[in-house]
Amino acid sequence: MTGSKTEYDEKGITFYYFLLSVWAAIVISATLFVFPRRKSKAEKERIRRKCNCTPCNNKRQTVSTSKPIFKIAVIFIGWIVLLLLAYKVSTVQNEDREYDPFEILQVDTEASLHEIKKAYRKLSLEHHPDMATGDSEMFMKIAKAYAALTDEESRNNWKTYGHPDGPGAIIFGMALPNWIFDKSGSFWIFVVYIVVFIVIMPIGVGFWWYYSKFSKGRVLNETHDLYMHCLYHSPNIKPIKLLGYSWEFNYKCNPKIEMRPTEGKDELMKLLNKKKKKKKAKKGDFLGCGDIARALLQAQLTRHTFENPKFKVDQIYILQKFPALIDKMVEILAQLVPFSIHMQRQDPKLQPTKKKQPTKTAKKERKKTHKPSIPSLKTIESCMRLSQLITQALDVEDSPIKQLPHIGPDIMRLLDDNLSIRDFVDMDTVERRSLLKDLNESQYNDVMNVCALMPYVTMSATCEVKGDEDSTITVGSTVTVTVSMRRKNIIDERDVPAWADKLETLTVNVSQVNENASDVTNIDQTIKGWRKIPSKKGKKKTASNKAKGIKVQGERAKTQKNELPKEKYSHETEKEHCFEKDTESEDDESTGNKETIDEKEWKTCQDEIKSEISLDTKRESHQVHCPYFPDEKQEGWWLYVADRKNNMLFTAPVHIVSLKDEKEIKVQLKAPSKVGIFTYTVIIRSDCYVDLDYHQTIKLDVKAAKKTDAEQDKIKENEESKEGCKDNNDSDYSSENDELSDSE
Amino acid sequence: MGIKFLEFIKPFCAVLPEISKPDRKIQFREKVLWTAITLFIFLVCCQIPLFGIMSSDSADPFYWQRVILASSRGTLMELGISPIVTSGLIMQLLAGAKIIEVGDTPKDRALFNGAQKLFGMVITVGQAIVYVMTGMYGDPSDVGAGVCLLIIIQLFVAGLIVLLLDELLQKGYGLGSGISLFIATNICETIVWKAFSPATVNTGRGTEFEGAIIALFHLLATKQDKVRGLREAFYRQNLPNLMNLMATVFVFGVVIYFQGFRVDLPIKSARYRGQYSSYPIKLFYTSNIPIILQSALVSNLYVISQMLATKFHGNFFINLLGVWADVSGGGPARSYPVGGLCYYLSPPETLSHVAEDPIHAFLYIVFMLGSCAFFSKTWIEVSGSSAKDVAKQLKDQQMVMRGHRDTSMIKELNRYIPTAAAFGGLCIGALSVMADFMGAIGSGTGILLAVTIIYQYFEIFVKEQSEMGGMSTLLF
Repeated sequence: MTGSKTEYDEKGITFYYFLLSVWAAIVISATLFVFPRRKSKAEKERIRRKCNCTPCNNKRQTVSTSKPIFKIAVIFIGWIVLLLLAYKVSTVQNEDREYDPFEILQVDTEASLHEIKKAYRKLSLEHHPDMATGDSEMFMKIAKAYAALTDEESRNNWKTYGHPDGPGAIIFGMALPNWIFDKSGSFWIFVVYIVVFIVIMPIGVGFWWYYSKFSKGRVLNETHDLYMHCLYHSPNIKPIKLLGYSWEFNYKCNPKIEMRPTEGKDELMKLLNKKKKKKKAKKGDFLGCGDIARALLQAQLTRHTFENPKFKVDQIYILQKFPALIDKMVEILAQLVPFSIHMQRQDPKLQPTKKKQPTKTAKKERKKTHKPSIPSLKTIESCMRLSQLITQALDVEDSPIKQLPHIGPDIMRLLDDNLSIRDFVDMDTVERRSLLKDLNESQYNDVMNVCALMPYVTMSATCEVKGDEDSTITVGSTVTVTVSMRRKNIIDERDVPAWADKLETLTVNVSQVNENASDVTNIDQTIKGWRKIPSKKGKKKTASNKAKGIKVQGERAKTQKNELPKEKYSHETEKEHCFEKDTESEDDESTGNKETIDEKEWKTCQDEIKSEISLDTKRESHQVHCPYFPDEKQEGWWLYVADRKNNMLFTAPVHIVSLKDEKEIKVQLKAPSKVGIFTYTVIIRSDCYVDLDYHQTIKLDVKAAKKTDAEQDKIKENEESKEGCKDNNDSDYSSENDELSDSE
Repeated sequence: MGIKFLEFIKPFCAVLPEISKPDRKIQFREKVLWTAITLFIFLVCCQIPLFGIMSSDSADPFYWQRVILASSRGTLMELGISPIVTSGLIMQLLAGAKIIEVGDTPKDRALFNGAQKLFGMVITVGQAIVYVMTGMYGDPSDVGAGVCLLIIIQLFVAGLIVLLLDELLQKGYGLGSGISLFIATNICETIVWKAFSPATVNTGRGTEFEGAIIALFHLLATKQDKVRGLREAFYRQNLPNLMNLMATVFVFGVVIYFQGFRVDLPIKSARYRGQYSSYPIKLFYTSNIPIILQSALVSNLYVISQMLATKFHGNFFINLLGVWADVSGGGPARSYPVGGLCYYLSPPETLSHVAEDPIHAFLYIVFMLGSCAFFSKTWIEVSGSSAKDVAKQLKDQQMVMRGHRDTSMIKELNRYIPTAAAFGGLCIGALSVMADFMGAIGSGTGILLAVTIIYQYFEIFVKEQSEMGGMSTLLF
């Protein structure tokens, strides 16, 4: 403040305005944030088909009671406070009124000059100091007001500075109540400062730090290390066992775990022994923390309910933590595969065996040496399967039909053990109804509604060597597998009303769906995931489409997806080209012809890259029907390429959590070091539904590497010049670039 | 001579305070925590007034520099990041011009960083002494030698803290760099203050709030004529109005939109078949460098001109450089250039001003665009991001451009990089000018800096998010 007067708000009027506007800004933005958005079509659909089975209803209650009401209450209180403040402000008399000559002259703001003159005469007669009713001050005021309305200079002053006298002294102020700056007030302010910054903030940060360690989506470092260690040394360990020993579930480590090993031992032992009976059970009656957690998970699988509330709380906690842990486990396993292969190659002990049996492949060798062995595909898949089982609360031997609501043991007995969900959907309506004859109409509707919302994924996978003129696969090259997926509900929405009462066979519906899909988008549908081959109609269609399907689909998808970026790009290039012409017109002319040919190729290339770069930050797909799982869950999928024959994983499983309708994923794998035709499988596995996995085989036709002389020379040259530089990761130089831009 | 210089620095490096490198991978959450702590310390430093200063009533000669130097007057952060920036800039230039030779070995890099830090500390002490001796905090003879020394020590320690905080972030404990974090914070603080400031001004026509949004509520509540009140909230001239706020938001949006513009050059590995990726060349290839350099140049010119103007008042040549007049508006006092070269290099305050003096506006635009493009183009040569250097980098990593031979790579890169640099610089300049004309809060330069920095942070977050999963898992 530049030497002018500074004053604080004595009466607290301006402070109220400040408070009111800040408060209003907060409340309004909070309301907009919390206000329920309009429900999307899929959401509406989901609500229409919500399942009314008892566990579902229970879950809905527990999930919904907690948050929204609290939020709404807070916002409601916020609005009440806002209204109170507004009322308070409106009642406070505004002290410094604006200068208003009309008011002083007691005329209307629209008054004409004549009226003003008249009013002035009248008032000045009344207030003239010579008169009995005179008042010199009032008279001065009237004269000034009259001048402001008539005199040119005064009028200008009034208009620009708000007063006919011209600019007044500038008073700076601060809309804070005066007591803050009093002696006693400043002491309290000081105390508050100390408390907030020295006590509350560090404690708050400490608490956040400590508790966020155990938050839902996070895995403790210790657990990470434990998994790494266990999976490395014994790759065939049962996932559920390892899961139990996670540090998150140890009461010594995590204060949120309420149970102690001494409590409810018998019940837990029973749960554990159920499984162990077949083998020689009896481990003594000592229960470790790992066993408790495992028993609770086991209880989830068998849908066992505990009486002890502590058990319930812990089980819910464990289940909430579970998806992150299983995700971590899969990730670690995927890391371990290439790592242990690498280790085996490095291991000097293995060298002699290699020499002895030169004919044997590397894979067979690996099997022979026991330690460290490579985690097989089985371990990884059992992890994924555990994820499905826990989410749906099914035991290992249970039929997948048990995922549907109202299916109790009585009905299960009637059903064939090998009946899959797909078979169930494909079944004749009459037959199905008769199977479920114990259910009443609404219960049957529930079953069918849940069925209808289950995912049905079609995929097509192509593999090629990218970034080269010819895309033949040669030995040791990196193959890019492009998988485009399309998710639908098992039964198309339009056909649902026909569900409950009409006797149409669903097989027709399903094939219709297929037809629609292939007509509209030309997607090549090679459906292999179903145990049964779908109806003949669908198959024919796929066969006819197969030849052209792949290519057309690929290009279509690209053009559709990239319309926007392309526009942007062309705009940009236009601009740049204009600029370029000024500076490098000579260059353009010389290469002009060639460029027109290249341009198209260039553009497609750009589009391709653009689509790769686009980040999807949304983690939203479809909600999963999982009544026994305590949280709302969104559908997720694991996508990976594996060799079924040798039980080998080839790519790290990609966890796809945003498959809403369509998605294209690219994974890279290294081509085998041998010439020949190899058959791999692309697998999409659900992380929440049992028995809804899909796969497709791909053939890699690996040819011998052919290199032109120039290329070879080049590579040689490169190798000579920079032998040590092995990094071919693009992140390296991009980060370097960032550094440069930062280090001004 | 080059190597000798770094060798000469070596013994000093041993005594320099240093942040040791993290011995493990720092989790994202920890990085956020460290960044927040750094920011907190910086903000506290911005609020603690210096002990022993007499007055700071005179017009602030460094007003024009405050934005890019993240400094605030009369506080511990008086120097802000200027020592780091200056030393960094000079060392970078020396290295770029090959006056100091820096090898590629990590040892050399470390030595170079040490030299930069040492240089920064020397500059801090130097600046502190100059500030105190020139009488910024009162006449040195009045203040007394003891207090003078105390002020210098305070400034030095504060400078050292900033230096170490920056190093903390740079070494990988935090996100981004300290410099950009502090600049962005400073600007965002200004914007928030101008929107919600509780300060009031009474010029005779009633109390008015400084904060634009608070003023809206206040004017709507107090004015009888609501329409006039609304109009005043949007268009008032003396204090920040809603139009300024909206212009700020608009510029934010435009800059973010432009950030997405880029050309991706497809590259592939020469060694392994089928490994491919892309090398992005952004439209803002040099990011905010041109604007930093440009404003550093201009603000230094202002400071010199102002000093000369006070010393040799009325001299013809000095007046040619710049004539200054004190204007006290709503905020702290500052001098405005009203004539001479400085006047033509300063942004026109309002659109009406543009109409009054179109030559001023024209010269300003030409200067801004030209200098930004020029600095941008020069910077790629100096900083080692020119086509030649990029080609070398790619070659070192055994990457070649798809569909091009090794030798034609430089040519191909040359098609894009200089163009992107020059045109990007031009765009940055144009955006800055636009922001100034629209009266965006915190000056065009400031907003541009803030947005580009915030965008960098946003990119870090998005990258981490896509790896880790949702925002909630990152923080909670």
